[in-house]
Amino acid sequence: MKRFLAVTLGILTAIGGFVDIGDLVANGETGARFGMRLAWVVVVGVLGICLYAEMSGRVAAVSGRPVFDLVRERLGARVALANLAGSYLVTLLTLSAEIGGVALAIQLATSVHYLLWVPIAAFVLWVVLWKVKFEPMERVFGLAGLALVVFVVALIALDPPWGQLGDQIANPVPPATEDWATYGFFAVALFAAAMTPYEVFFFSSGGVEEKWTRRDLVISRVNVFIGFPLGGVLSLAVMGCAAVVYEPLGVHVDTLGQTALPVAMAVGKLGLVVVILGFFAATFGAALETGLSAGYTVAQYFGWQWGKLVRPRQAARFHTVVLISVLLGVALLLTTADPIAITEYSLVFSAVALPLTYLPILIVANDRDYLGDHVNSPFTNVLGVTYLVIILVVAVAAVPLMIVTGMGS
Amino acid sequence: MLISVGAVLLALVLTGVWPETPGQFRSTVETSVQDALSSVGTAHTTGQTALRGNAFGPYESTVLEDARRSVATAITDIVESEVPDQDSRRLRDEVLPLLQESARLISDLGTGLSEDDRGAVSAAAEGLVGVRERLTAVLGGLR
Repeated sequence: MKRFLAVTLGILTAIGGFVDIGDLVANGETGARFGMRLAWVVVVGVLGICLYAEMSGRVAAVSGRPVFDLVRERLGARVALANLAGSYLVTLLTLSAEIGGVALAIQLATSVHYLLWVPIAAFVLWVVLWKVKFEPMERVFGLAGLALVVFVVALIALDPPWGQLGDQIANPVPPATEDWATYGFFAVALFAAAMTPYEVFFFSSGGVEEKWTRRDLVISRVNVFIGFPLGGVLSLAVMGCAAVVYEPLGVHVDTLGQTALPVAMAVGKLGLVVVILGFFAATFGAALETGLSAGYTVAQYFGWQWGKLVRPRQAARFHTVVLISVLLGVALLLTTADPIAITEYSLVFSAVALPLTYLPILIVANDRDYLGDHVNSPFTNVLGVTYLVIILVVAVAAVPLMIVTGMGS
Repeated sequence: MLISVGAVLLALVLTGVWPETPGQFRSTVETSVQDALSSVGTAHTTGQTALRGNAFGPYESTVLEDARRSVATAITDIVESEVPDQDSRRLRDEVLPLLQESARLISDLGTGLSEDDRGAVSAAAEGLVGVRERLTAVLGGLR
């Protein structure tokens, strides 16, 4: 019974923790402009993150070490440094976007300008990162993120033309008002939102923090293969709500307030309160994950003591990196750069950095020295290589599409 | 290496100061009209939602402030652009009043909501429907 509860709690946490500012922005924008014609990208992205998160969870559970630690040992300092540079910069950009998302969520509830909330949100974030233990921190915000289920309720309550949405899913081509380049740009952004690099670093380092062993492989797989796809359903619900309300009006979505509006229309004030709470939990939870991931990657590369299992004094350099990362994220926001624009850039550069993250995971997951009999099966390798090809295509296409379409505008 | 960097920088500077072509001006106007259409549509939906009692003050004012600011940016983008020929001037003269009316109606809607004046909110929301139809027609002509 205790184990069943732990598994259930893990699944719920994975669902609630799946959506972050990138998913909220990319799915809202895409739904408004393309209806459900890009829903297939969310499905492809969710399958990809399941595949690679399972690999990194297995590496952590079997070897007792996080993926990034093994990447340096297995591939050498130079390759790992390229991995570190790409992943850290993207994670930093994502951290900044998440802090901005927290501030925007509070602005929706208070109407006080988000820039005034940025330093306060960052301070509270740092205190939580410093003081709160790993498991309660992950659980509280993951479970609170479940508030975003209100998007599913809103989509049903909006009584959408299901047949029309189904036709859009079945005919994945741009509508008459959009061109193929813009369609490609948003496909890249959606794919990157689902496969953001920090997610696998956090998942594997989190496995070590929670002292996973081979016995926990089942829990890890259940979290990944049930929790993540259900999290993907939330992303599709965000897209669906935007598709139903905004696409017929020709309205483009580029604020969090617009993303929440279909929920207010369908569910009323209570729904609006719940969705703003969900925005806060999703972005704050993701800010915690990206803050920790920034510390994990640097500390694991240099072989420092890291993590929340040890006292901050014993992992001083890890906590210093986390603090500096939070401060850099805040500094970027205080230049008055738009948090939504930062999110869009973070998605594009995430797409560029994807191969640096996922190729080393595939290599380590095939190393018998670390995993023994738990190395990838031939089937997993076929899927892994297929996804690596997709990731390479996405990485190569991201910047040219960004330039050609003017960030999809 | 230095020559390449210099050439790229020179190209960037020239791109920035090169006179605007009619095509570029038209593209600027199209983006501005699309932004205004999005803001007007969002403001109208927010107004309707508020009239049904489905939203609360801070949320409404944040969404309408974002919408108003977006229209203001759209107006500025057109005003700041160099007008390359007579056709572009005609296009500007057709679009600018529409954008100004959009900004005015969004502001009126916000004021009506903050003062809890249902009549003013309804009037502004009704006005936004008309503006939205005209913006949609202009956008259709530009595409």
